[in-house]
Order: sequence, then C-alpha cells, then structure tokens
Amino acid sequence: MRVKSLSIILLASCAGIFSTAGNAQDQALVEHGSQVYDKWCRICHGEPASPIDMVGTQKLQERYQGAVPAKLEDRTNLTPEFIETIVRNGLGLMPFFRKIEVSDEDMEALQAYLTRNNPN
Amino acid sequence: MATLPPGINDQTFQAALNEFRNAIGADWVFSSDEDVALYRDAYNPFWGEDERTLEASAAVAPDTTEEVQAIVRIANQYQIPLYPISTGKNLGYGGSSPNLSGSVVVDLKRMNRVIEVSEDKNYAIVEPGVSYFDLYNYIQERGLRVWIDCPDPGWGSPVGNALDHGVGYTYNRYRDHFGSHAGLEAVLPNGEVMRTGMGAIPGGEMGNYRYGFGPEIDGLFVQGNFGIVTKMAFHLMPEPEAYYSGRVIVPRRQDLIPLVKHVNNLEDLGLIGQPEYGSPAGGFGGNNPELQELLARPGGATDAELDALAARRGVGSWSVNLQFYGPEESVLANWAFARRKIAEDIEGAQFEPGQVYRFPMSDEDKRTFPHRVAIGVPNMEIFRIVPQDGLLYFSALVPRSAEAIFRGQQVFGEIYREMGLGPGPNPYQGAATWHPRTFILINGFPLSRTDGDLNARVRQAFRMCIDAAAEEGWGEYRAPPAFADQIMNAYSFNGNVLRRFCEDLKDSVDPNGIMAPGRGGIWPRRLREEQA
Ligand SMILES: Cc1cc2nc3c(=O)[nH]c(=O)nc-3n(C[C@H](O)[C@H](O)[C@H](O)COP(=O)(O)OP(=O)(O)OC[C@H]3O[C@@H](n4cnc5c(N)ncnc54)[C@H](O)[C@@H]3O)c2cc1C
Ligand code: HEC
Repeated sequence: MRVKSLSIILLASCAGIFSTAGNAQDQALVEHGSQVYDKWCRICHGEPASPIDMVGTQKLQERYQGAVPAKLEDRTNLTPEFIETIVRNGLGLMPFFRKIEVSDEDMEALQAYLTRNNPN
Repeated sequence: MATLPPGINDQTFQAALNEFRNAIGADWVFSSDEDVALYRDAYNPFWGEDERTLEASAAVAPDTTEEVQAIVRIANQYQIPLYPISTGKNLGYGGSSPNLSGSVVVDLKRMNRVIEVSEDKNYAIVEPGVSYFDLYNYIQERGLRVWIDCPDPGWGSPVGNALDHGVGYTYNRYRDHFGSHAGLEAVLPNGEVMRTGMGAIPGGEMGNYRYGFGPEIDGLFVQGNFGIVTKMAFHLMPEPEAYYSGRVIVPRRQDLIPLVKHVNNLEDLGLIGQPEYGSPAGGFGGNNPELQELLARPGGATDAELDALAARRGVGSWSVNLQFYGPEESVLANWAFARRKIAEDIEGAQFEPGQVYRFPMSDEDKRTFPHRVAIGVPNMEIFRIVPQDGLLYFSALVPRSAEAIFRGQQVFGEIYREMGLGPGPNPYQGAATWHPRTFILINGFPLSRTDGDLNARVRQAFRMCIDAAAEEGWGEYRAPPAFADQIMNAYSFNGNVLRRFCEDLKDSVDPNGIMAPGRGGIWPRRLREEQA
C-alpha cells in the first residue's frame, strides 16, 4: 500500500501540472481515475519488470514501435470514446470489463485520467 | 431484447427483476442489453457465429449474505435460474458466462471483505469478491508473515478459483486450492445459510478444521450447483525463511520415465513445491529447423533420431525446476538429496544451481523476481502466453507418469493435425503439475473474434479430445460450460451413477432447479426432461 499511495500522490501532482482546467473537481476526477487505473489497468499496462511482464505495455510497444508511448498513461492521443470502446468490448486478449468492476462513474474518471495530458 | 430464462415470459421476468431491485437496490440489478453483454465469455468459443450462445438474461450484485438469500428466494418464487460468480475471471474455462442461457448471473464482486487473517494459526477467511491481489495487499499492509498461494492470474478470487478446482505453485498442501480450504458458508437453493466444518458449531472457528462431524459435503459446491458460497476459509503457508530453485536437465527423451518417478517421490515426501517440467530441445529451442524437419516427416521421428539431434545441438531433452521452501539449511539439503537420487539413476543428468532467496523480501526484489507466483506474489504476467483473441483450455487429467505424457502427445497431436490446427503437442510437450496428485495435459486452443470457422474447428477438436481422452481412461478437471455435459458423460462408470446420484441430490435440494442449471453437467429434473 505504501508504494500505491505514493504513486497516487505522484500521479495526482502530474495531473496538477498538466491539467488545463485544473479546478478541484477535475482534479478529484483525475485522481479517482488514477485509482481505477491502478486497480484494473496498471496490472497489464504498467512498467514491465522484465521482458515478459505487462502484456498490455509489451503488445502496444510491438504494435506502435515507439510511435506513441507503450504505456497508456503516457499517451496524449487517447480519446474518451476510444477508451470506452476498448474497455467495454475488449481488444485481442484484453477482456472487457463488467460494470461492477468499472462502473459508469469509474469510466468517466478513467477517461479524465487517460486524457489529462492531451493537447487541447 | 434480453435472452429470457427458459419457459419464462417477459412479464414474469420483469416482475422478478423488480423484486430483485426491491431486495438489493436498483443500482445493483443489471438488465440492459449493453450491461448484460459484459457477462459473456470474453474468450468465447462462439465468437463470429452465434455470439449470444450462453448469454445471461440479467445480473444482480448483492453486497451481503442476506441479500444473496433474498435473491435465491425470489428466484425460487419465479423459477429463475441463477449462476453465481465470484470475480468472474475464469478465462479459458468460461469467463463469467452461465451454463444455461437466460440465467441471472449473481455477481459477488461487491462482497469483497477479508474477514480475518490469522498469523498464529495461518488461515484466512474471505468473501467471494476478494481477489488474490486484495488478499495479498491486506496481508502486506498489516505486515503479516503469511503467504497466499496464487494461480497465475492475480485478479481471480480464492473462492471462485477453489470452486473450479483451481491451482497454484507452492507446496502441495496449499497449491490445490480447494484442498487447502478449511470450511465454508453457503446459501442453499432454498435460501437457507449453512456452514460446514467447525463453522457449523455456533461460536466455532471456521478456519480450524474442515471435516467437523458427519459426511463432508463441501465438495458439492465445487463445479456443482448446490448453493452459492458466501465465505470460505483457507490455510496459509507461514512465510518461510528461504526459497531455492534448482534445475535438473536429462539428456534423452526416455529419461523422462525415471525423472518423473524421482520428482513424484520428492513431491510426495513434501520436499518440493510445484515442479515445472520443460524441454530445452523442444521448448524455446523447438523452432530449430532440423527438429522441425524430423517432426514433419510422415510417422514422425524415432527417439534415437531425436536424441542424436539433441546431443548434436548440445541440449537436454527434458528439464525440471525444483522449488524448495523452508529454513535455508533444509532447502539446500533437500536440493542435495534430489541431486543425489537423480544422479544415481539417470546417466548424464545435469544440475544447474539457483540462488537462495531470503524473506522478508523488499517490494523491489519481489517485483523483479523471476516467477512471482512461486513466492505467492500475485501478478498478470501469464497473459503473455495468450494468443491474439484468447483461448480455450483443454485440460486432461492423466496418471503421473512419463508414459501418459508420451501417449497424450500422440493422441492429442493427431487431433490437432486432423483438424488443421497446426502441429499441436510435440514429443517434448510435458505435463502440468499444479495439482500435486495428478498430471494435467493442457492444450490452449486459439480463438478468433472474427474467424468463426476457426472457432468451429476448435470446438470440434475439443470434443474429439474429450472422447479420445475418455478412451484412454482420462477425463478433464475443469472446462468451459459448452463442454460440461460431454465431459461429465465420460465419467460413466456403472451407467453414469456419479451423475445420476448428483441428479438425485439436485432434485431433492433444488426442486425448482434454480441453482446454476447445467454446471458440472448436472441438470435439474425440469430441464433434463426438456432435453430428453
Ligand atoms: C493465461 C491464463 C492462465 C491461467 N492460469 C491459471 C492457474 O495458474 N491456475 C488456475 O487455477 N487457473 C488458471 N487460469 C484459469 C482462471 O483464470 C483462474 O482459475 C481464475 O482464478 C478463475 O476465475 P475466478 O477466480 O474469477 O473465478 P470465478 O470465475 O468467479 O468462478 C469460477 C466458477 O466457479 C463457480 N463459482 C464461483 N464463485 C462461486 C460461489 N461463490 N458459489 C458457487 N459457485 C461459484 C462458478 O461456476 C464460476 O463460473 C488461467 C487462465 C488464463 C487465461
Ligand atoms: C489482461 C491484461 C490487460 C488488462 C487488465 C487491461 N488491458 Fe488494455 N490491453 C491489453 C492488451 C494485451 C492490449 C493490446 C491488444 C492488442 O493490440 O491486441 C490492450 C490494449 C488496450 C487499449 C488500446 C490501445 C491502442 O492504442 O490500441 C486500450 C485503450 C486499453 N488497453 C485500455 C485499458 C484500460 C483502460 C484498462 C483497465 C480498465 C485495461 N486496458 C486493462 C491488456 C490488458
């Protein structure tokens, strides 16, 4: 848990630096999104500990060959619609998520989090 | 339009849904097509064809045992079939989909409380929605010196996994997950709550002793349809002082026969955790063109040819990683014992030492540990082996012998080739040893989201494998719902008395046939008659 809360603080502070709107409500949403991401996405899309770790990050590296960052969190070109489509339909080996796992509110937060660094 | 439960009209169904809403809150009843579709099997053998095969009619997500009881009572009143899932991550074996289309999935994900972890008596009591990640984090946050035994994917549930005979990686008394349970609580098909083991005594300790008194009936809740488990206790391994893993390599293909015998003994003496068989010649070195050429020849290759090739390439035929847990002195002594026994018996056996890891271990060392589940650290690394659009696991139980492995390569290999599914198992495919008392020959058939023809061939091959296995006296240990009937039918001793006995029980405790109809190949009377 120590590691987890640290990463949340770091992520939240990144959001603070980059977020364009930057109001408290948006920040809370982004923070919630980072928690959803921690629970359901980072387990496959996080930083690989080895070349066989983090299948999401590895597959996206193979697919894009560095044209965009392999880690979803570092992307600046994801759209809310695209995120929702993938999370609710799955892609390749990535299964879709039930609403009891990622609720509609969680989805909104996840979208805010993953698009927080997008250019306007 | 939702898929309705069999024999139920829309009006009755809507009335039942309203009752569910009254009982657990409208937010926790999912009935839109869009929400219900999320309960399909994500690794779906019907993709590209009839995607609505095995689809739920709705899902309900209770938060407490009382709410589960209320759901079961309503289901009885309206004759609505239910299908319980814990975390619903049974990918490769059915995902979160029911056995009968139109069932209402009872999604227990919200029941995610860790009730107790005892560091003195080494057990945990958890609700079904607790994942391995959750239980691990709970233990770490409190600095408790106990280990969980986890399967490869960390997002599953100790309860759901155990209830499908799931398995892990450490010592045998922990990695057979149902075998390591210590009693449970379940809501019966009539809505009553029952506890087994010492939990059956008011004030008794659930994690203490699973047998209690009288017949042990916990097994009825595994791959069965006799209730919804709402709590389960599991024995935990105390954190050992040290872990050590050493590798044994033997030169010839037939050396697997004595190797298996020795490793079985180490296992049954309680000296090792899960032994991991592999093959330097056939594993990652299997792409070797000379080997491919030999294998592609009609009739395949002889052992002499294979051994000659392996010798020329300077690789062994088989390897096994042995894992030891305990005091540093004993893990090293046990590794020395294993080396001595194998060296005495198998000419040319080689031994690659590993390193001693000590516990407690830092988070960073855990993160980079080679096979984290071996030290009870849940993760998702295994998904790297999943082909593009998911897979279907065919998992046959075979005796713990090299002869069974060789026979399986032949029997299942022929089916792969006949069905045009690639070369299939080669002469170096080993067995999985997750269950300590049996080998599992596992083949992951690839699925496609778009190529319905591939999926149809995979389904056919799967069915052929079930039949071919049965002819050898083998059966499967778990399987996606679409194959449950055929598998249960193969366990046919004395006119299928096993299934018939379960059906008698079923009719008596679940007269309305509402609890997971078809799970484990067991159907309630009303649906058996319909099928007949
Ligand atoms: C790449 C890959 C690797 C895998 N590796 C392993 C492995 O190492 N070991 C292993 O065991 N499995 C493995 N699996 C299979 C599967 O992913 C796990 O077993 C997983 O833990 C099962 O899902 P779950 O825990 O969410 O159980 P669930 O899906 O929740 O439950 C499984 C089934 O048990 C029954 N059930 C669940 N909860 C209840 C309840 N409360 N009451 C009554 N019945 C219930 C239901 O029939 C349900 O369908 C692997 C799968 C894949 C794709
Ligand atoms: C089991 C591992 C796993 C989990 C968990 C997972 N993903 Fe994925 N994800 C993948 C893989 C693998 C791919 C690449 C699929 C492919 O290209 O075949 C992927 C692809 C994606 C893509 C597509 C990116 C692109 O540019 O194509 C998005 C978006 C995505 N994931 C979002 C998420 C989100 C959000 C979550 C958490 C709710 C999540 N994923 C959880 C494995 C996972």
